Amino acid sequence: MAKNSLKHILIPVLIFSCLSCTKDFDEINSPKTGAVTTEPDGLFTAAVQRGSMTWYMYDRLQRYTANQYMQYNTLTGSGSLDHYEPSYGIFSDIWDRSYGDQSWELAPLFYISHTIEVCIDRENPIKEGIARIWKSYLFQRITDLYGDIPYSEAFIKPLPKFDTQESIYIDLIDQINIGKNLLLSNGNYESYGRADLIYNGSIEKWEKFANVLLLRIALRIINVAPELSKEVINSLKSGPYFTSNDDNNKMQWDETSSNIYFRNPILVTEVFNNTRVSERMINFLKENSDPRLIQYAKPARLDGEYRGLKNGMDPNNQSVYDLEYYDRYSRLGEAFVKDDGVTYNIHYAESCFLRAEAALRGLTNEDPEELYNLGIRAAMEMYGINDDVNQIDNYINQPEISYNSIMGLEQIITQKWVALCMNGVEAWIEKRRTGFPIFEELEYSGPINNGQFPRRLTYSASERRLNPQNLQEAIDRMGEDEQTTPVWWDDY
Amino acid sequence: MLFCQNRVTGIILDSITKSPLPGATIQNLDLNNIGVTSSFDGIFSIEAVNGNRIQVSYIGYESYSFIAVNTSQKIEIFLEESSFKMDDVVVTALGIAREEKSLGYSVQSVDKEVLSNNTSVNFINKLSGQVAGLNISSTSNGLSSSNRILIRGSSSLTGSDQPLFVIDGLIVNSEPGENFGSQDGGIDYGDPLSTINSDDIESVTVLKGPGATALYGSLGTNGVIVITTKKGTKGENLKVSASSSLITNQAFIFPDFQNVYGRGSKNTFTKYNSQSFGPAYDGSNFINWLENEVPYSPVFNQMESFFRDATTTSHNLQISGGNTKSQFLLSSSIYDAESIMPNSNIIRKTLNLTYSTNISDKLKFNSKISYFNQDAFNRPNLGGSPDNPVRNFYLMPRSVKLSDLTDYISESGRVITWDGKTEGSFNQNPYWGINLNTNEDVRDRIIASLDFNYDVFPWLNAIFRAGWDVISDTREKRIAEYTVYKTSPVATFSHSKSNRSISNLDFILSAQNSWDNFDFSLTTGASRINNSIRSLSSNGDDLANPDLWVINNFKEINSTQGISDKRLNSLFSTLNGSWDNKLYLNLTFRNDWSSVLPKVNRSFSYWSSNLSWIISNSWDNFPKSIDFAKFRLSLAKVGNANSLTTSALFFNYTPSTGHLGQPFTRLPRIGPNSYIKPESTLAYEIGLDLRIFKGRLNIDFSLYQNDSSNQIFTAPVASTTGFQKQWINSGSIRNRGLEIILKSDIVKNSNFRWNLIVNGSINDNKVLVLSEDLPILILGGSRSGISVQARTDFRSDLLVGSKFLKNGSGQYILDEFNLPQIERDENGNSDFILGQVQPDYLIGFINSFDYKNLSFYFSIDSQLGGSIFSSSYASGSAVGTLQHTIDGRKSWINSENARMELGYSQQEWIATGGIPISGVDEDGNQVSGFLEPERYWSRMSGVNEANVFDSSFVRLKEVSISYNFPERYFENLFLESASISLFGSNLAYIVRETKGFSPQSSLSSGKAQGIESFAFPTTRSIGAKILIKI
Repeated sequence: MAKNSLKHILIPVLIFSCLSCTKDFDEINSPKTGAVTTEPDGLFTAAVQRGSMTWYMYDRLQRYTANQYMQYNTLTGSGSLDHYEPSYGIFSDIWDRSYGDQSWELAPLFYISHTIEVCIDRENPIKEGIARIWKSYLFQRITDLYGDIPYSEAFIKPLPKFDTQESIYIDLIDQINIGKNLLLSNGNYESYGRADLIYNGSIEKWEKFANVLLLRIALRIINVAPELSKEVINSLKSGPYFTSNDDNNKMQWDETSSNIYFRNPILVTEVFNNTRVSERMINFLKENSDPRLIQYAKPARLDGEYRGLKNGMDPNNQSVYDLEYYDRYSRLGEAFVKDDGVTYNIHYAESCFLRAEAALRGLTNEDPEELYNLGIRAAMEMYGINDDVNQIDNYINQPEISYNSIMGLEQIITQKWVALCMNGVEAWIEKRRTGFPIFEELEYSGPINNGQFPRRLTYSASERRLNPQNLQEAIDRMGEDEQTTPVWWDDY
Repeated sequence: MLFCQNRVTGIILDSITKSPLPGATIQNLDLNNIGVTSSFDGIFSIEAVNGNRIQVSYIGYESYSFIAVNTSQKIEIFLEESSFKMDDVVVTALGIAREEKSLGYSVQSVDKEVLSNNTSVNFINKLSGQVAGLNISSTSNGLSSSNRILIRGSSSLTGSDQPLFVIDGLIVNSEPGENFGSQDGGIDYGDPLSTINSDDIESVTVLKGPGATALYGSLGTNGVIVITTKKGTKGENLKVSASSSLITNQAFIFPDFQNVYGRGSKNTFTKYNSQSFGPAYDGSNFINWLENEVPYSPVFNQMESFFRDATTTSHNLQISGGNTKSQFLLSSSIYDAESIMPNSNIIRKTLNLTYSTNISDKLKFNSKISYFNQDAFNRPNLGGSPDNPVRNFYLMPRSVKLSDLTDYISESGRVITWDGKTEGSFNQNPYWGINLNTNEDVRDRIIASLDFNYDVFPWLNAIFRAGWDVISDTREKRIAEYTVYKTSPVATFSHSKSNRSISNLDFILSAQNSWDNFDFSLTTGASRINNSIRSLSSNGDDLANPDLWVINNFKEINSTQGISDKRLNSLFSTLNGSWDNKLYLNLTFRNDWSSVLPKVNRSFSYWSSNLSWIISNSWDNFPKSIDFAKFRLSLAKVGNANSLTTSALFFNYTPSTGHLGQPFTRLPRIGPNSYIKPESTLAYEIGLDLRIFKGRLNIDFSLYQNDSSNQIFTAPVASTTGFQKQWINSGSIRNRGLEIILKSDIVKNSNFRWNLIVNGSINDNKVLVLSEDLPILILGGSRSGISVQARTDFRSDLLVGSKFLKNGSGQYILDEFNLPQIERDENGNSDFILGQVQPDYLIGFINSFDYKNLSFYFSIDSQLGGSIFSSSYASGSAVGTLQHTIDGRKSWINSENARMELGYSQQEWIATGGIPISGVDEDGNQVSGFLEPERYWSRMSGVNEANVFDSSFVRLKEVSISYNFPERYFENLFLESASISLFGSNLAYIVRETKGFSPQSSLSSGKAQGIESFAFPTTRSIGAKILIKI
């Protein structure tokens, strides 16, 4: 009887304790389709691929915005950006997709910042060094576009404060130097290898890239912080910089993927059939018998002529809405729209022009003319133009083109503009700094900015809504949140 | 003469059917309360002397008293069925049966009669209007579409607000359909409830408030729907029942298209124009878009002719039997339904076996296994999908003949469609859509359970229960090569498979005892629920061999695997006490340990206390006119963490396809939160239950307030955090409401009975706060700029969009072209509250009439106070296909002709006809004149306010008439009974405000309801059913 009662009590107690234990909960609730730890490689791969601008970012930032400002391309239908009017939606998109992970965009700034954390956690100084250099490249671009931006607290605080562009630039120089030192003093660690879509993990090439980037940064601040600029250039001595087009920092696109985020972004956007090469670009190429003409543009469908479409056309002109009207103008050429195409982040030609400018300014002992010529040659060779029939020499020897120290800066920056074609962002930033190349006034400009050349992008609407206090602080420092407000280094 | 004891003998009969009632209790109140029960034939004999008071009582019948008179004659006693069974037993949480009068909260049951004659795939449609406070919003997505089921309003901002479904004590899968509610289309795969065969259901009980559901703890926030299935009955011979029904479904609300003007714009025909603002039909010959010369005349009823009258057949067979020891029931059904859309149908088969046996006097065993198989072919593509045929009819220029589109494929394999394009167009040929871009899904489901019920002592009972619910889904979707709207011309295919399972394990001990007038029972138990999902979905691009739709025949394949596990352990206890049939108190307590919560917050407790006070038993001199009066009071706390997944807690790295063979590692897009807590609802409820006029009228009131706080949702964050959104625990929602249930036997005599039930409820929803920095949360929306939002101090189902700019006296402020314009706030936004999605009032009227063997039933349900935005109406206005767009066209054309004759330019001319407009200009001056209809409607289509409709309706939901053949027909046959019924459902909207679509046409059954986008026409079902029993 007693035994029986015991059984009656014991069984329920056993069952209750069994059903309420939580021993397995950690295992049950562990993520099964994602990892809680990772290696930096996959993050870095995403950061370099997206940082090189896949189609959506290319479309918003280059094709619609900077490429129109810099008169590389014109979009049919005459939109507001081509009249130096802001497009808040596009400017917000560029910001939001650079910082935050939106759908397919895999925000490069978030990814590269996180890569560094994982590298530190995994104790790999080589990978960390490369990541710090690439992060500096990406952050320089975003601060050059907007001015003061969240930098030190981005991805760390729920409401990140905005840092001044000056403090960001000072830190970028430090970061690149830290990155370089990590690369040079840790030979035993494994690099990225193929996960590095740009340099296949080559320490030597990343070091060269770091030097070119430092030179770019130094020249950007030459007017506002000449001492720092000189200090950076002195520390670089003679690089090593890029020595050939093999050193180009570029992205090779996938010609077979059906996913447009892996395809050549210029080719992807070309299917809309609403891009034409700008009149200014085609005329400049034609006037100087530039062998790049047939590379940069296609003959017009209507009559086989190379003809550029003017930027800033009057939208009241009815013909801008007539699709057949655009058959008279050249679409983008083979240099840009190849299936197995590449896009350039920084190329050899640019590095030559940067060095030429530094030399021109007397900051180095190099010969500006030699570097200028080297830059033109590199820019042509990059698109497969060789000097078999002296076409490069002939080009360089034309009186308008050949180096002339009085016009030196304009010539260098104008040639850089031609070489950077379809990478409007860098060309636009350089025009804001130097004023070159010189463009005519637009035929039509919108009422908001009255044809004033844009000097920055306005901040994102969602940042304004969700991080209002920090954003307002930055605006109070900078002036107004307008595209005419100059950024810190812009004293032109 | 022998001394013989005085006895009264007689027979007890049902007053209507005149059939004997076995087992009735007969008591002699004046002779030590001695009692006997009636025999199988209803016969009794009880000791009594002249003048003794004899009382006859029988469950479910009114008691009957009489004074004994010594007589040798057998007396006949007719008992009347009681309208409201005071001793009704209802199934409460955890399957505990309790007397309804003892409950301190509101429950409402729906019995099998209501569920019979089911016309739709999903039995849940039947419940609309049957239960006060239960809001079933059906979507208009064709066969087997999902429903949103809300009990007492929405308590969760972004989490699930679907109630918990419990079948025979087993918690089953009931998650609503997937998130198909996008304007870009999608497919409604129905909810898991649609696999349940309504013929197997004995009753459905709705536990509404947290007081009733607190025993389900973190699962109980949204109410519980308890389904009891049919079982074999004791001591009966083998019983067979078979039924067959034939139903026809007919689309019945179509858009009101215009048949006056054909293709074109500005009164001019052009071949590939996509509008219907062309010239008026004149019957003359013209060259159409196919370069054929045809008369220029209207084509009527094209959309009507595209859809078909669809037939549904359903057959059901039930065999049950057993002896006093063991019983079984076996049922099987097949349901075969065509969709009103050609080339689309659904077939469902079910098999169900229940078996119970008494292993010993003390130990009972019950078991059940059900298998469902459902195969749906070609469910419609919804919303803005170009493959949605409804979209085509709203947009297709009116003079285009549907018969010109039946040959949908050209010799080169490209589409023939009315805009002349073979690529880069969204104007799909509807026949290509339904014939080539097809889909198919198969669902297999097994629900199995068993329980042992052991009477340890007379006062102690133990139940051990285990059950499984396993759903396996396979889905395929094909998009043919050269489909006109695809960015690349290659064929695409998706194949996905998912397995969802829930397993339950319960152990429950119940003890009861009583002292004097006090009765106690204590139930305590433990349970474990495991949830698991495994899925694999593959997408293929580019067919290698033509027409071979298997995933390995595709050149590029991408697969995604999903794994998710959850476990919920619980301990619970409930104490019931009653005193002298006057006061009943019920206390419940439950502690949950949930694996989806972070370690520190895993353990949560929930409780309820419920009081029922039978006022009518509490005073001797209680007014006789009130048969029964009860007051209820309930206070409870329940929770909700059901929608949480591991991604909410952990910073997760996900591998994904990368560039040139180098994989990417992806970071989370939503910031995790490792301190998340379950949502919790604190609920108050009071109620009153009154029965008067000898039980002929029953009125039941409930008043409730549910405050749901700690809302779990993802709030948008600045992109500089790296995330789009962040999981947070904030905000609270209040739902307050009143429910009234009125039941009455309006007429009741031996031949005729008219029973009326009215269910009415009001619910008021308010967002008390979202979070400190977040006044607005967008829950969903469409490309037309309309969205569904929750806003602090407003509701959680606001329809928000653009509205007209008007001055203080309500006049339009017109723009430079005299067109009404959109109002914008200082930031340039045009987000104004235009309405609420959910109705304020729900009312159902249920009438049943019985006359001899004939019964007649009809129900009306209605909803008042909600709104719906129609993007179809907006589109049809913009392109001029709808009837209302013809206003003013003729007079405008006359005005234009006069202008051109006189050689005036547009600027110089003052129009003499068109759409009259009046308002003020920007400076406040009065302006009036005429507008060009084409421009006017183009503007109107872009203002959301102009396309929002009141979604209130009154609907004739069900009508049925059935006839039971009198038993005498079968005396010499093997049949026991037979009946035939004719029925119809969703028959007509008596009142509705929507134009060309039904008020219940929401695109989604998710949170973003209230948006209609090219919804399928609603269907009316009419059918007949024959039921025989052997």
